[in-house]
Amino acid sequence: MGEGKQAVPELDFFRSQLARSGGRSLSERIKDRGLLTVVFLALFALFLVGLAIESAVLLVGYIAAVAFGAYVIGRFKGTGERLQNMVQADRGYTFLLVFLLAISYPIIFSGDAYLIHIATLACIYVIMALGLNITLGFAGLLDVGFAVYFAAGAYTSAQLAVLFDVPFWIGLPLGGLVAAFFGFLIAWPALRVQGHYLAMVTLGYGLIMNILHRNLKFLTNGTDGVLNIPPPSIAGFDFLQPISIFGFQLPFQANFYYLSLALIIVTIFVSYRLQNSNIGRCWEAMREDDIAGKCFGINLTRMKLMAFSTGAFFGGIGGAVFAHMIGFVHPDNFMLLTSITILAMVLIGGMGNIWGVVIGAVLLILIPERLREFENLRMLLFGASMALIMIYRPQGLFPSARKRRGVDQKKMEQLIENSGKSGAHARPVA
Amino acid sequence: MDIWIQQLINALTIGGMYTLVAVGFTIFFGVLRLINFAHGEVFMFAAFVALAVSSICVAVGITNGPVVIILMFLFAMGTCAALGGLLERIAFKPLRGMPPLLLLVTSLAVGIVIREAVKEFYPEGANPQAFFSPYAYNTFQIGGVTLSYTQIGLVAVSVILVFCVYLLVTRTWMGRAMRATSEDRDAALMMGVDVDAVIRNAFFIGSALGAAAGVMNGLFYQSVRFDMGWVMGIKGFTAAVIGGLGNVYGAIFGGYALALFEVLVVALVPNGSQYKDVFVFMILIAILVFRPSGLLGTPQEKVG
Repeated sequence: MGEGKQAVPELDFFRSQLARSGGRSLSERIKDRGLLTVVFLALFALFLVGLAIESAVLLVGYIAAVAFGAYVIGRFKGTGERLQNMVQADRGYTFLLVFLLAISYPIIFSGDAYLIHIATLACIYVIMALGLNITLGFAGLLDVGFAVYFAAGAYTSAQLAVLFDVPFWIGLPLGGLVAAFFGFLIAWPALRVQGHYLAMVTLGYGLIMNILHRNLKFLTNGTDGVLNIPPPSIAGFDFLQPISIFGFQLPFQANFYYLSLALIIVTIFVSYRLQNSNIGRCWEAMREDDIAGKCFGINLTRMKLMAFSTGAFFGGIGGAVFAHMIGFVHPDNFMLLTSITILAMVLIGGMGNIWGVVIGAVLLILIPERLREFENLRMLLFGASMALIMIYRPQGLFPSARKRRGVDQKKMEQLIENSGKSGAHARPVA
Repeated sequence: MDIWIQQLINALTIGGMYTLVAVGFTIFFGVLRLINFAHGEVFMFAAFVALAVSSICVAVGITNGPVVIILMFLFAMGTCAALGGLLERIAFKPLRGMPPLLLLVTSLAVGIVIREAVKEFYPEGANPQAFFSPYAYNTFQIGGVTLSYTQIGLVAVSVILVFCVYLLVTRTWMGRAMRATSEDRDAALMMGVDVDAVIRNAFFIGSALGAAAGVMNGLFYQSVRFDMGWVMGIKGFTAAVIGGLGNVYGAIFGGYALALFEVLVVALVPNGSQYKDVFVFMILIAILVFRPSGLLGTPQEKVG
């Protein structure tokens, strides 16, 4: 990142500030908002159509068509940038728009409890992926054992509810805290290692914990799992009752959907605040160059511990909601594949980009769910598409543009070119 | 006493397989700074290739034990060398110079593809398969220790292969190029080493060795499963880490050390077989954290 000729990222920031503070007239702003609304409605419609497709073969075709369409539109220079600028300039409005669309989802599919159920599952994974995004995207610490925190939250909250009748609303934060503790536990030895080695340490941690889930029967009931986890309730309203919103009668799954939606909003809010706080900047500095960061007085130990435990906390929150929604917790839920899936959500979405990660998580849950027709072939598809995305779009589908997080796109393209042309080896960017 | 000798021989057999897998990990890491999780699946793939070869042999009427076994080794090693080369070409070459995480995740994804492909496309691939092992029950006694011919054969094969690797690394031009690339890729490039070819060869050799381990595994346990690659992968990796990633001698030491350690855990710790893997992974973490250059490496060496 030392090339002098590169655009100064700070300038982009000032430009967006300028645009925000009334560099545009009122009519322009209304026009932009209208355009944004149309774009988001169109995207949402595409999403709904995709969900409504029952046949797996048709769905694959549909996804391919949409991806091709996005590619073609992306070929026109500036389309993506323009959209991004519009979103940047009007972040509050975009957020409101997305929020409203998300609220309307169960109402649109009020007749199909299954679709609401898988959307809730997607929401839970969004919470966890956002948690990993803090550790990996913001602080640049590889964590391939994220299922540990998922499990910690799920088991804590489930066992508290089953054994001690602790209400969900207390079990939820406790699950998060226990998960944060587990994050702390591995972060402490992991302070000494980086890169590959950190990934391997966390991976080993995940494997150890999964074996313990199976064998420490007094804590986890072993392979029998924890059964009959009671649903949450607010003031006598049980979450297993159907609810009505705006006069619409919704199946009970909608309760969990709205609960996890609310938690996503909290998570996104916390992520934003963290990203732009002192801590977030320390993380960013640490990620880009830890030695330089240290020289500027950043307490690396503290920052790493915080990154791990904060990320883990949200993993635990996701786990707690998951346990009470499904009503059943089993060690099979927390195998390495879960960790890889959550990791893939962050990587495919684009490390460090909050909205990208949200989209990545939603796609990675919903698409395999809708491909159930393919049975086991869908795992093959999952692996293949993950490998293809890593190879052809290593920066993720939605790399964050303003701040280059983790991987520098231009530099990487250059590296690929060099290594392809001369057979020379590019040095690791690290 | 006899039981200990028995255990020791088991450790030697298993250690041979760990070593062969670990050598693959260590040379991939050496030449490419890559932790290749598809390697464990290549190991599994080899076992299925060998299984198919044995079925075909039986079908066409070749039932001579040694011939079938030699054919199994040859075909499995050949196919997997090709598979390794293919993986290098399509998956890892485009990613050279990328941050380690991308390589790691890509190899995991490729591993999923291989595993699921075997599960789906091999007939009855989702179920454990009985493996052709003609000499498993031909045993003999030496002073109270029961040995099967298979076990003796496997120990011999692994020692021979390991010795071949040793010769290859120390005595041939290719081995020297490989060591040079491991030590400093740019310098090797400037000295006229064809680093691309070195990496390609590393994948051929590493995958072929992993394949040999896969066939040995089948002959030893007399059954193969589509999901056995992952565990072997992580064990092989642990063995490589014990000896120091990138260090071929280290991998040889690590493989046998790990097997011995496992046998000891099972024998000495109550409920040991249940928690065996926990101990293995704890060793992995402890070495990565406290002695990242491995037990054989110098502590000052910068890695990772």
